[in-house]
Amino acid sequence: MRATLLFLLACLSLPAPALAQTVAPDGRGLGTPVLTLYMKVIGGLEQQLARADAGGDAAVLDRLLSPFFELRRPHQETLAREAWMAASRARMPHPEPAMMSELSVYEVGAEAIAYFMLRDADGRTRSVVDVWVRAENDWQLRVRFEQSLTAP
Amino acid sequence: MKSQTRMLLALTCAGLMSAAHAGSVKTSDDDVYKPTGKGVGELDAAATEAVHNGLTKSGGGGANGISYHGGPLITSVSGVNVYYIFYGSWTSNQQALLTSLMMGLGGTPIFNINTSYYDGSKRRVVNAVTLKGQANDNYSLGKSLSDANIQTIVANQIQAGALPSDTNGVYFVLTAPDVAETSGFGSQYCGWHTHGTIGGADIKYAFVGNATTIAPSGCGVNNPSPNGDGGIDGMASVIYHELSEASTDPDLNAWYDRRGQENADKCAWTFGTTFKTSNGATANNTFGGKNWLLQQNWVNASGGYCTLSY
Repeated sequence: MRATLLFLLACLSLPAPALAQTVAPDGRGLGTPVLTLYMKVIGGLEQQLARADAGGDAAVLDRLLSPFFELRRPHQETLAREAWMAASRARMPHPEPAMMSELSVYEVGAEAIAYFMLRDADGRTRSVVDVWVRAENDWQLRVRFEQSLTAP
Repeated sequence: MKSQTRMLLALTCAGLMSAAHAGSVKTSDDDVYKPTGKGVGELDAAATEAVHNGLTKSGGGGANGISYHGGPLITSVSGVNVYYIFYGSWTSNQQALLTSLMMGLGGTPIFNINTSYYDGSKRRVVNAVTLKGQANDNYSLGKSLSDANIQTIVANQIQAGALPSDTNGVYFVLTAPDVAETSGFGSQYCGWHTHGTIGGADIKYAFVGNATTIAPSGCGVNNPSPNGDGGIDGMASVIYHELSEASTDPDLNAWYDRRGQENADKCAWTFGTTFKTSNGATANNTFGGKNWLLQQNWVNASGGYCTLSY
């Protein structure tokens, strides 16, 4: 787990232009895939989380967020679980849920690493890496790494 | 940090980022998708505009939750022909297992689900499957394959005469556990099907990888598994999924719903009623003298539903 977190922190610390240069999709984009079970399950949880965050739904956030959840942003910015939940509840009026796109879910040992884009209703876009861990028969979000892709 | 470690880290991060270009998760109930692109579907701009303008009705699409879009199906009276290309290192036992799957699948209640699909002339998919040929490819394009490489692997076998050119066939490129498919195998999908022009013919082909190494939980690698090889048993369900879709939507313009989901997509990772095999594995089908755990499929009748038999 520690190694995974260090790896993901290092990924987010890469400067944005370097990441942009690595975006080189295959280009053919043909066919229809059998999505992995993780795409189905984690994708569903991410959508639940986006709705709960937008709506300030404390019960759902409490279920989906690990007791040790934290949000990490560049420059050592950290937001702990309670602060994130409080910010979600305080947001008024509640915004539309952020739109998720470009989801991939990597299976790394017992953890699932989700990578995707989140676009808020106001058009701001974030690159997100989420680390989901097993919690009995379900999953909980242990840590989120996010970086704004929108110029301030 | 050593330079070698930094390079490895950068390459791995790059892979993480570039793979994100493939799939997407849809959120609008009024948008209409078609099954092109490496995701659940790709926005069909014309159809979406029609729905938004009230010209057509949104929803599952058709009375059975799936709609016909005018394209051909594989409706040959002799059924669907299948060709296997085993890419990389395979044991004879592994090849024999997947041979048994395809030798036994035709005529079964689970493949019969596909006979509920028909074309504009009411010709239906036939409940018959013939494994017409097999070939081996010893890593001719390495261990890291692109989508284009998959078509090349099929083309090479046809052009070499190892496999015939068959427009009623579905060519499966089946890869060993040490082979990557770089557009999202394991992180987005377990397999896919499409079509392309090879030697002037419209050839339908599919990719299915052994996910034992890259995504065992995400691609259904179970232990124990019905035939004692979790990777191969997991591939069996994905092969059934792709063959069902390649039969009912071979050119990606026949049967799919408004989200771009083809018949087997609608029931992915649901297995219906199961039983325990003698080795303690979970299975739901028995044919060809073996037990299998295959996903359910969507019946295009009676309002539409997922099931194991029809």
